[in-house]
Amino acid sequence: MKHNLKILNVLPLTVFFFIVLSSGIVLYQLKIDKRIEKSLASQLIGKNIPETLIPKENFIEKINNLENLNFEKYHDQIFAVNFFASWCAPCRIEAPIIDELSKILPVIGIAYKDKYLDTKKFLDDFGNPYIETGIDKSGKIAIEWGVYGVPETFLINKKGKIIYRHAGPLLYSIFKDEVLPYLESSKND
Amino acid sequence: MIPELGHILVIITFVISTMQCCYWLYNLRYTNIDVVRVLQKGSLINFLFIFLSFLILTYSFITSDFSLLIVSNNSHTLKPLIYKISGVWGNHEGSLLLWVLILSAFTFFVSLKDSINSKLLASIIGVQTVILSLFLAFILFTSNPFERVDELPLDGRGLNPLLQDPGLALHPPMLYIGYVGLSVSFSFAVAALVTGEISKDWARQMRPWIAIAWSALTIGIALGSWWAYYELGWGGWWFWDPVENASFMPWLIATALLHCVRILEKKLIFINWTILLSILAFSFSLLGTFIVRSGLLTSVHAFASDPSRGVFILIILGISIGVPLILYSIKSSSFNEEKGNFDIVSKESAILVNNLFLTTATLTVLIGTLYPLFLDAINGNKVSIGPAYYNATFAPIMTPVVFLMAIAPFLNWKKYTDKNFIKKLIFLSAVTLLGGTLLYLIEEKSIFALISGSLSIWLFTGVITDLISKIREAKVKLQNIKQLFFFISKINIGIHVAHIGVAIFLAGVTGEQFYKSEYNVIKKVGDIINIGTKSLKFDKIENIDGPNYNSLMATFTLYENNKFISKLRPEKRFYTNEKSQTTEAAILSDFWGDTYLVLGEGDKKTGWSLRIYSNPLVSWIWAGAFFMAVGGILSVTQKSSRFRNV
Repeated sequence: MKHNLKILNVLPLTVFFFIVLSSGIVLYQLKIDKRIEKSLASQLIGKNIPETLIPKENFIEKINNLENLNFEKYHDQIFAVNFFASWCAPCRIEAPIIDELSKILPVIGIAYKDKYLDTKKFLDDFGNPYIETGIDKSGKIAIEWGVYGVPETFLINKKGKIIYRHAGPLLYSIFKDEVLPYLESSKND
Repeated sequence: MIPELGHILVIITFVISTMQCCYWLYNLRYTNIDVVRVLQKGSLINFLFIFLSFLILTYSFITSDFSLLIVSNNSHTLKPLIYKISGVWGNHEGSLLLWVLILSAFTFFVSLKDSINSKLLASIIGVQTVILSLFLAFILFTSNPFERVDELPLDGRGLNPLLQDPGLALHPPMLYIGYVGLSVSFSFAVAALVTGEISKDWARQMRPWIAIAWSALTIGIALGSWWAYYELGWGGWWFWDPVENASFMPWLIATALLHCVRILEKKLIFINWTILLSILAFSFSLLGTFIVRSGLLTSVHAFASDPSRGVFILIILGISIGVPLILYSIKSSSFNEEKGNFDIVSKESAILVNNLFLTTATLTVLIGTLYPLFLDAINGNKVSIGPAYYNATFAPIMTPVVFLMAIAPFLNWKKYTDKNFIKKLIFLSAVTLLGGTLLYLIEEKSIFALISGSLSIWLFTGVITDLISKIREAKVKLQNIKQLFFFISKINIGIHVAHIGVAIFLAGVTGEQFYKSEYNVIKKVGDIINIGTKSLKFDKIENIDGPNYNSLMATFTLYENNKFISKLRPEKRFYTNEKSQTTEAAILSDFWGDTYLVLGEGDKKTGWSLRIYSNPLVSWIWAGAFFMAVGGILSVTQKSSRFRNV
């Protein structure tokens, strides 16, 4: 048998090599991202709520006639802001827990990069726990809030400062073991 | 004690299979029948031991042994028995054990094939065993299914309710049989590269394995899509989700391989291409496993994702794809091909064109799947690639494939000799034109609806025409079972059944894509909703307790032309243990289509929001897939030793 290399025969190997290399980079990034997520959380906590402008046609419930999502009226109480999207699978899993949360405090929903009808459908199917729901069509609000991905949940204290952030679906165990005790302890802040 | 036995069995199998690999490599140059016998025995032991340890794991799930980590995380005493069993593979660790079980079973069955020449057979078993030990190492070092918990929980955490479904209980095993089945043709290809032995017999021996794997993969994908359709309640059946794509890519490549290998059975040409396809088919299966298991993607599928596992799978991938591709680069130019001339209008050309388009289609799916991931990794941009991309790329690429599928079976091998070819072509065009016009007159939709509807008619007519002419040519008397089998193998019934499956599938797709209608309404109890000739009456809504959930169930009566058809009962289920909610759509399926009813939010005062879809021909999609799979199995019976031009 002659063994001679032909360019064409090496091509599959080359392509495969590049795919493996880039997959490796992606995995490495995933690990780094976990670190970013943690540092982000600590940066935001204790800060004021970022500016949150939502045009009024982007509100699901038209309670609010202001162009700005009006956080003023929630002053003097702890409330939550939940970023979600109808296209996001973990948000479906999280929906009943957000519902539990809404029984304790007002929850404002912000649908990230979503369409009006889709959001409405989602709320029809999985329940609407939100006191008001706005759509962040361009995704700019999520950037202001430093949202890493949907779903993400923020708790805001009476002074309008972010006190807690959870990235990813709010699982029942996290709700019970982290959020509830946290609320209990920060009641007087 | 019993779970530890399972763990020990996995460890022993890992040791034995590793030793077997060394034995194979050591004897590579002096392989004889004795070496094969040793490897055969090893494969039998591996299979039995893994089977036993799998039984042990299943036993732990059935008896709800919550001292096992994966049982306590994925099972619950209240769960029905079937879901306790399906819980075994409803999680990362258990599904890997199932993967390995199927691999060892395939290895054992292929090792029994003494008709393969012993040099080749030894290498086939050897390659299979290398993959087996790599995956056993993966199980033992990162994903031990027999891990115990420190604190014994009172009850399990349950299985993701979305996954509690009969369709889904069978989805992973079928998919895995498909994925792992492709390892056999992969091993054939690597063995050919290692030993340099390749012959027409190599191709003949390999084809049934591809056909079995392909059929299982077809069923597996179809079950997944069926589940998505009626469980997720999104009213769709295919979402071009990366995980779906991961199972679709090996299917496309295996389809190409299944056709290509038939050329090699007749004449030793396209050896390199066949070998490359065999390697690629299994590589895509591994990539599928990698994508789902590594946590690169988060969706319902990624129930246990962990980047460190991803790194391990990447290493396995590197070895089991990289090494064969290195071998391929070095050795593939050394195979001697026969001189093979064939006409432009011949089966060979048609199959080549089919391969060209199928691989291109795979590439478009691959790009659509990986591009968002890479873009995210490079600059953090999140893009989603949806149906718009695939409609613009994948659909046009597959159109010529379907077009050719109807006429390629008319063609002869090597030479264009059939006088009737033009006649058949004219007949086909006439029927298609007629059907297309009819379609246009019934309901005018877009040009794409017309194209895909006509293609379906074109293919259907083509297959039937071909079948009739094959039956005429066969001239076999059907007096006993033996002759029936002979007849079936002679007319290549598998090919016809599979191709009819594609036609049925395409008809279903056309109906679902272009002729469906959707209604969103808010109605109170007692209201009537009119949809075309059908009407729905809202009878009642009530709370019902299931085995491990509470349910809000509405009851509707469906009438057509004021005649009672059926009751429809859409539900919203609340799983008490998992605190999560699922939407159970009520679906009434009949031959001509589905009425699909989803219950939304609401209350007594304002009424309930309802979503109603009318999906014509949608069940044809899965019926088509079923036909394809049956065709694949039937094609195993097809004898390829004949060198007649059929």
